[in-house]
Amino acid sequence: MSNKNLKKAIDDQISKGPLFTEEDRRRFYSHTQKKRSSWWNQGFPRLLTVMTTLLVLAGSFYFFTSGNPFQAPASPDQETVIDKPMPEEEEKEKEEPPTLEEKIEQIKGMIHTEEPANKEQMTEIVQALNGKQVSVTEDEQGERISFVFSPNEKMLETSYTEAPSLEAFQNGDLDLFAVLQLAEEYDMVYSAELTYLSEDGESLTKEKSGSGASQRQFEKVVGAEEPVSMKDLTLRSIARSLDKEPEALTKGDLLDLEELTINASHLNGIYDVEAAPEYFKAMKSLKVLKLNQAMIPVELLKEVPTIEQVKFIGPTVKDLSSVADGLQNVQYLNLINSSFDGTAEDLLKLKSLTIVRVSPSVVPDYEKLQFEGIDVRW
Amino acid sequence: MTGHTQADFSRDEAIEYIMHHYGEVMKRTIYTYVKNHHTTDDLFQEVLILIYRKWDQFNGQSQLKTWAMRIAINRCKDYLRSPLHRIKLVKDQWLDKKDPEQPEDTIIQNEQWQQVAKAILNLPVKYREVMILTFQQNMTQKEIADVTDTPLSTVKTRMQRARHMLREHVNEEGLTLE
Repeated sequence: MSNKNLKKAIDDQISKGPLFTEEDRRRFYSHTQKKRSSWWNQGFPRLLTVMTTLLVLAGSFYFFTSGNPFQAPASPDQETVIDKPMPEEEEKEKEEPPTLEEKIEQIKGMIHTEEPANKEQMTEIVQALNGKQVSVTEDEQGERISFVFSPNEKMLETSYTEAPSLEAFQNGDLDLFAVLQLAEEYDMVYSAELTYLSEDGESLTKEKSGSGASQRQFEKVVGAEEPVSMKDLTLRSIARSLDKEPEALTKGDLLDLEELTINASHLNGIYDVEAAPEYFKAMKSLKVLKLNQAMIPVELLKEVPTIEQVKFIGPTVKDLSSVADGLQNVQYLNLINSSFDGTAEDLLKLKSLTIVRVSPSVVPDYEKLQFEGIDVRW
Repeated sequence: MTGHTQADFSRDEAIEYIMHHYGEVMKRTIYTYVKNHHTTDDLFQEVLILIYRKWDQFNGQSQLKTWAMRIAINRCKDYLRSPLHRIKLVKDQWLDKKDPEQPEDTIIQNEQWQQVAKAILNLPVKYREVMILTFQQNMTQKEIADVTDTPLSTVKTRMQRARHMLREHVNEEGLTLE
């Protein structure tokens, strides 16, 4: 067995380009700097030590000044009356319904931990939070279960098959709508969507757990119930990706958008995407973007730092200078059928790029890219 | 940095040294356990943080690289034991297609070695581990025993078994392994 050949083959299987990049270094230092600057990390342990010391001293002082603490009290009956909380009060405390914040925290906790909740645990948690299951659908991964949560201990009478209206929340019919996705094979909750009334009481907030590596993070959109208003082709393209009717699209739906293709090849000239930045800001799951004879202004691209893969088709890009600032997290870039006529230096401005599809006749100095660890394919 | 102890370097110097000299090799090793680039990125960050925190515990009895690799391997094994990674397997499948539009086969240069490498990456973890550390990291069996906290005799047995499994695979595929 030739060790050299096998080592190369294994390395190729892992990755032809380098895996360790400046991004790793940046991520690490940004983490440690956050930690260092955090009052919690710097001050809290010291504060805790001081408080513990004071507590021990106070306890010792009490011990030595209050006589023999192990002796039975002179009037036990009296002490019992004073110390024991009234049973009614105790029960009242127990019956206090969970707040919205507690519900949100507990539902997020189902998937936040290293060991996500299974179906049985999920059911127990939902019941403890006065939740009611309202619908179940199934896809190839498992069950998708919707729950409504009452703001008080009363069980809900109304049944909802999809996210309820703003009015239902404002009327107090419910305070939380949650959709939990189970991975059937592993019997675990692996994603969650939460909808509740925003702080101002005038709109809905939708939160959704991320996908892939960001599984345990929740992304949030305020004004989830607002209809989306933008140019027709853009709206239809988004609706197609989400398998919804364009007129039914809401801002909350944008949170679910993972891939977007805008094909304007049937139009004359280049189609310029125009939209309010808030809509692009709401696309917090968008990872794949394909633009055929269409262009998105850099200001809008900057609102979507989650984009990892981009494909340009047609006469829309020349040297990427107009969009480079909005593509700083893009790892895969396909320019093979685009009008790109820039240089290797232009591509090197994309800090996260690891794979680029571009013709060597367009970028004859593509070896510079390879030298920097970028996989060049054509 | 052989033979050094934690007293020779500040925490920051050490982490910079480790990133600079062993960052690539550590990430490649992590990948062979989890076989997912996104997870590799995340685990690598966790490993760096662990190293940073544990720097006071590095006593110089083993080489710095061995110490850092041991932390990385242990973290990978912890991850593989956790149920979370099984969920990610379901969710990350599409994300890990490195080039979504170009079939992997078209870029393979040396088909036969690639097949063997693929077969190694598909072995069960304990056999994959010894093969990767031998052939990709050029470690001796003693170093593997050290870095994986496994008795040397177990490493030898696993190596033999891994070679046997690999040969079976290679024969099935009609390849030669000389």
